[in-house]
Amino acid sequence: MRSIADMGGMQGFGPVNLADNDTRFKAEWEAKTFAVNILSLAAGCFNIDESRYSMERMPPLDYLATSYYEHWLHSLEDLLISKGVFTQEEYRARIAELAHKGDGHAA
Amino acid sequence: MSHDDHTMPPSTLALRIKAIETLMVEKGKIDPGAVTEIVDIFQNKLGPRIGAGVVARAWSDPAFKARLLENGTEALKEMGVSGLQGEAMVVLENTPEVHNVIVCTLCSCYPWTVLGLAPIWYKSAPYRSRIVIEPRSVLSEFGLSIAGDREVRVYDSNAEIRYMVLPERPAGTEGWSEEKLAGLVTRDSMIGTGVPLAASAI
Repeated sequence: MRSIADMGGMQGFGPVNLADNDTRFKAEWEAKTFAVNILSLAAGCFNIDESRYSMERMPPLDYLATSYYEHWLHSLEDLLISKGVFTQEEYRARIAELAHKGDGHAA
Repeated sequence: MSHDDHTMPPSTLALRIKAIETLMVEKGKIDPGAVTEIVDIFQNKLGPRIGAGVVARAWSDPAFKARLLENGTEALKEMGVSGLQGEAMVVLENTPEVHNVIVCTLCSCYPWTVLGLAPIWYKSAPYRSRIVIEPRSVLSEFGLSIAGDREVRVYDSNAEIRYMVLPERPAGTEGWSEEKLAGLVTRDSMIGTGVPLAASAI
């Protein structure tokens, strides 16, 4: 099946929004997601083909409804857990711990 | 997360990446401080001024231009520009007969080392979907009218090959220094959605 990410030639997305001309990260979480991805690649946790394929396998409706760096965050979660770099349990526990400390609201 | 993952409480994006970052540091996969360093490099050190320098040199030095078009990856190393993940760089020369434009239909592959981070529109569904089927219409939205008898070539980037456009040197710039020429080279002229500024602009 053709992936939703395979957008070349698709119809109906409308005009290019030229006002979206910014190249800078819009929030700290975007910058961190980008950097952690680059560093995970450099550390050999996964390769760039696996990273792209992970985003291409996102459910189409999720892919369209989420932003660019959310795709990257999805692939980080998917690959780091499926490859056993850390476990789903560790990840959930860490999120709960950070939420309890009140972290993550500023960004 | 996947759809079947109903037990994951809704978490903010900031919490999710903070959790990943701290776990990666604890596991020794990422050095503390490396995240800040990478963000600084991409947001503040890399950018289209690097590509503009490459274009200005190609306009000024025919031997360099020949090497750049022959093997972009090697020629860029002469200017201290190397691929981040070993990807190859291919430089596409605009001529009176051919106008080149780049895209990544599958995601967002972009020549980071010469242009820095991509603008949001480059990564957007409308650009990715339409530039390959109606490039002249899309280019006209950027204010670029390509003559009907001039060929438009669209290059779809991928993880292994990144492209950049070598735009045509503006008229009336004979004898200009590389530094002055670089001032005419816009980011979009190296993507192919624009052209350099006219000599009268500076």
